[in-house]
Amino acid sequence: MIKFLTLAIVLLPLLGFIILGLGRQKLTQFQTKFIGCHTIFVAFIITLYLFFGYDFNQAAVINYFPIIYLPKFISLDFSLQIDHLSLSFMLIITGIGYLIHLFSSSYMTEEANKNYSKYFSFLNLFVFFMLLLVMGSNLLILFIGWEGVGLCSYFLIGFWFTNSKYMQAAKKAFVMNRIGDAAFLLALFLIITKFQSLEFNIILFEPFLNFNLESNIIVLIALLLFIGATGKSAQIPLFTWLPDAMAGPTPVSALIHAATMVTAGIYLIVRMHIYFDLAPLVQHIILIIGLATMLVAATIALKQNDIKKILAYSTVSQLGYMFIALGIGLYSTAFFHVLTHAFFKALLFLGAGSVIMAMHHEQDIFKMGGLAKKLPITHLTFLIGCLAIAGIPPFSGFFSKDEILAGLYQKNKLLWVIGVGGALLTAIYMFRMYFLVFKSSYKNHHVAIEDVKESPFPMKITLIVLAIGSALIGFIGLPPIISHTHLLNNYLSTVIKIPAVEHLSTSTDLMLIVASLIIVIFGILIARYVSKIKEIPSTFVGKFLAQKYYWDEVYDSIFVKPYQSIAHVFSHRFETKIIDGFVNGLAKFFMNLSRSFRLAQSGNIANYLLIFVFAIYVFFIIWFNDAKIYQFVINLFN
Amino acid sequence: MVLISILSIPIIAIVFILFQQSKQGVKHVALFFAILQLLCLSYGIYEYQGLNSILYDEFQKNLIPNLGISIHTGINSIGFLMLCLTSIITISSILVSWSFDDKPKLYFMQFFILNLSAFGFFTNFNLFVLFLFLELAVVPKFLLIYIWGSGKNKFYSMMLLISLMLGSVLILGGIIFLSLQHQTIIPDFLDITKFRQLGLPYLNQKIIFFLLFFGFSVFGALFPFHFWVPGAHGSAPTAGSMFLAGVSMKLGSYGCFLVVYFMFPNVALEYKHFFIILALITIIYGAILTLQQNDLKFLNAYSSISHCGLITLGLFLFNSYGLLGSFYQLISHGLMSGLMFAVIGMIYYRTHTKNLKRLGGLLQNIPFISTLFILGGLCSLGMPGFSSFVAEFLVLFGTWLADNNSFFYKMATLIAALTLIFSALYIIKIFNKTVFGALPIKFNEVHDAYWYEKLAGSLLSFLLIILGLAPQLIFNFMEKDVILFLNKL
Repeated sequence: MIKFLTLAIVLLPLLGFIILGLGRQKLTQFQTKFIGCHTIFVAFIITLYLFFGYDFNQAAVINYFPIIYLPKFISLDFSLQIDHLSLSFMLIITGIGYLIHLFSSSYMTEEANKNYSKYFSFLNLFVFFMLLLVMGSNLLILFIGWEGVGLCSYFLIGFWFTNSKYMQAAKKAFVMNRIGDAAFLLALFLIITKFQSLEFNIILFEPFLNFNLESNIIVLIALLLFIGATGKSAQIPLFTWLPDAMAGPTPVSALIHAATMVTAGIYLIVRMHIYFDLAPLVQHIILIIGLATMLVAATIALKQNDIKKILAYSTVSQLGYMFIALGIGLYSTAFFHVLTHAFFKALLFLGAGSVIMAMHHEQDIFKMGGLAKKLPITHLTFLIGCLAIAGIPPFSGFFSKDEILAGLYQKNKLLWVIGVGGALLTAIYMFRMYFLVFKSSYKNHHVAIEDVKESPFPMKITLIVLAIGSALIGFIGLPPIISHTHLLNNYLSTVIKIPAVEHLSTSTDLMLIVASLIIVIFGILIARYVSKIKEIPSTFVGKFLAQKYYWDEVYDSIFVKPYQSIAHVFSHRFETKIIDGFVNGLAKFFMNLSRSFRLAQSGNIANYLLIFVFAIYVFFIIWFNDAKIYQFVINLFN
Repeated sequence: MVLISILSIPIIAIVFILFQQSKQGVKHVALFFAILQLLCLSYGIYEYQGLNSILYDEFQKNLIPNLGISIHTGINSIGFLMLCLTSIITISSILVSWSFDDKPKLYFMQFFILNLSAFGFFTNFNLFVLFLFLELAVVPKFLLIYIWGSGKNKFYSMMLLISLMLGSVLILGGIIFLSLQHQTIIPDFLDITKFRQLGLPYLNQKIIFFLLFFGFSVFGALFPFHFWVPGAHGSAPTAGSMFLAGVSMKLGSYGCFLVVYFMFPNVALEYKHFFIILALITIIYGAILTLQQNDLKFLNAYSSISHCGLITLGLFLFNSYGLLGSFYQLISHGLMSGLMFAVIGMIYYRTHTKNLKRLGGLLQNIPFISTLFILGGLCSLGMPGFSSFVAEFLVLFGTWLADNNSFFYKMATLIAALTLIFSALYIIKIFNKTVFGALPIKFNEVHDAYWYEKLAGSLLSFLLIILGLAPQLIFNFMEKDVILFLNKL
């Protein structure tokens, strides 16, 4: 039964993709909507059934068929695994995925029927690959899903494909992901060479048996996996694609570039966390990269004006927080932040989508303002999202962020300061956006304020459900000062070894919470002040931030330009020269040859006679070589 | 019986085509015989699977014993796969040129000569006979480009002719040199022991190896010998490019395989580092040049060079992954480049341009063709679920495994893995500039794929996906032979 249900969860979205993809010329919007949403909904129900109806304390590995099976060499199967970690991710993917499908069904109605089907087919395909990624019981299946979600991301970022600028963004996303994928593939090879297998239940237990701490191979594997994760999860140095990826439809940004796909890197590291525990060096690198990304993205977000760009940088920054948690070994905390982030960031993106739709596709926050009255539901839910991401109790972001900050404090007090600094920045940029969009005064000259209408019912209900989730989901991981049973940690403890560190004393814990709270509230006040200033003086730092640290330009001059000049030399100097040189040279050779032969045909009898005699002479010499005749001639002359 | 019939079908087809009166009749006859050939082949595969012997339909006869020239025919599993590839490419190239009306009799005859040459090549095992079949294809290729080509076709057809002749001269030189050493032996690849026992001096072995290998590499487009490929592929007619990239280049690679694994494995083992470096250069150089192109056909030709570098890389790893991956890439690349060239032809037929700068937004106008294009491109990119992913995975993995303690192989894997990034770059570039992107107004009134194009394209892309999803089918089929080849070393 589990075997069938598990397969059904994976195959339903694929089925949706096939039906919608093949029938996109004929299906009406209603049919598309029905098929597209319900495949995911049924998958969600089945996942819920598995969650409540079965006990997965022991991971269930279900084997379907061999993909590559060479006896005595290698065996890679199509097999799925369900344990508490994958089940949690499946719930996020199908649950939030369903809500976003529902939201899309009214968000995308302006599209032509066939594009509407195309949209839903790719969204379904994305869910299929994402499920494959988290449900695979070996790294190969994970890798297939990994590549697949990248592809779907490309198609969906470039959904409005007639705009070549959007396609450029889609290309950037795909290629940057591919760089990480190459590293991932190498890690895969290392693992197969070492263990002759990619199955999790083999590769995740043997390190204990076979290796000492800091074995070079383990470090290398962990490092390569992490590079793979930086690509997919948009960390320095491969993060610049994510803000550009906002070219896609807003629900796509919510699903792929906030809630699910970008957390794949975190899933990978949590899944393979044993390797990272054995490689403290890599953990340090992860921590540093996570901190750097968190700060860089948060500072850039301060100076952005596009509502989606701000959310994108905030996603990068929050992913940085997750990597910080991974870097200090708090794997279940990282997942906790993935979970809360999935809720509040999906909520924020969909709220932004609702605003953008109401504003007739205006995305500049300086051309909005005072929308609170016009869009009450959007406003309220958006506010909840902002509170959650800023970390105001009792909203969910508070709990997960607090855990990360407490972990940082235990590691090093200076790191805690940086972490709280990030929280301050988060509060500033989120509430700057909030105040500019919903408070202040209406500033758009193109769209009359009367035209701004609240979104239709499916969008509202989605926002409400997500807002409830964002508000309450944090209670599954209460901090130790409130309760000693951490539901999430308990649930994940079958998969992740929860480090047995002693908790901070209650007073320190309380002090940390209060301190960070004060700082966050201070941040909100700054944001309120900033949003009221009419003219912000332009400074060097401001320009630097608005230009995103000139990150793209630096990449352009380090990688793209040198590459282009090399390629230019190859194609214009080398290749054409060889081809022309070869063919022309050959032609010239034969021309010259024939010219010299032509000279022989002079018509002069004496010349011919000379050649004739010469030829006889040559023949004679050849003949001469034959030993007998040679002897004969020698005798003759003696 | 099967062997005789599949070899004689092209000849009968040529005769029938000669006597056809109508232009339409020629195509029907051609398609009929191509399908008949595939059916015979399928029957052969069906029978072969129950068989225990290595060769199906084996036949042996001394032709000129004094020169060591004999006929030794038969089909092994690799042969069967290559024959299927040839047959499918033949069928789809006939389908693609269904609306072709320029001297169709001569045109379709060329295809059957090419078909015969490939079928002969993959079923014969005497080096001299192999050489004859390889030569048989040179002139039809030249004619296809010279008569029906586009662009600078006269120039490029001459170049193809000269380059391939150069390759032939090298091979022939090798054969003659060999005969000078030992008058009576021209190696029969299935009965290689006699040849091995000759104990040729090592220096001579080296000379012959390099002559033969480089000769075949000209056909298989290894780095310094690749220069004829882009021009020839770029200016050939659609079906011609399909056949050139899909089958003809594979003859060269298959020949390289025979030389390496059967004749002089010891020489090949000695120089394997050199050849691996050459293969890596081919891969990267081809990929970099692909990115520089603006003509769709040239672009695809350069990417073919890059992909064929993987085949050579796999050959010189001397392990089962590398070899399996190589064979898989042979088949996968054949189908893939067939599909890509077919689709480029379809686009060219409608828009009259192959220039990336003038194309764009085709998904809007010709969704079916664009979808085929996307499928082919995804395969070229090595997306999981498509056949070339399996091939790339195996070859890269084979490289990684080739020697556990050697830094060289790790670096080689790293460099070869760059194809993942390069192929993403160029394929996405093509996607963005052709099927996606801004929509030029002048292409508004074009017909989407006709039935024959739909059929050809779907056939090829279906196979790509099947091969990508169930590689085990093929592995089971050819595993026995691969292990046999490795044991022969």
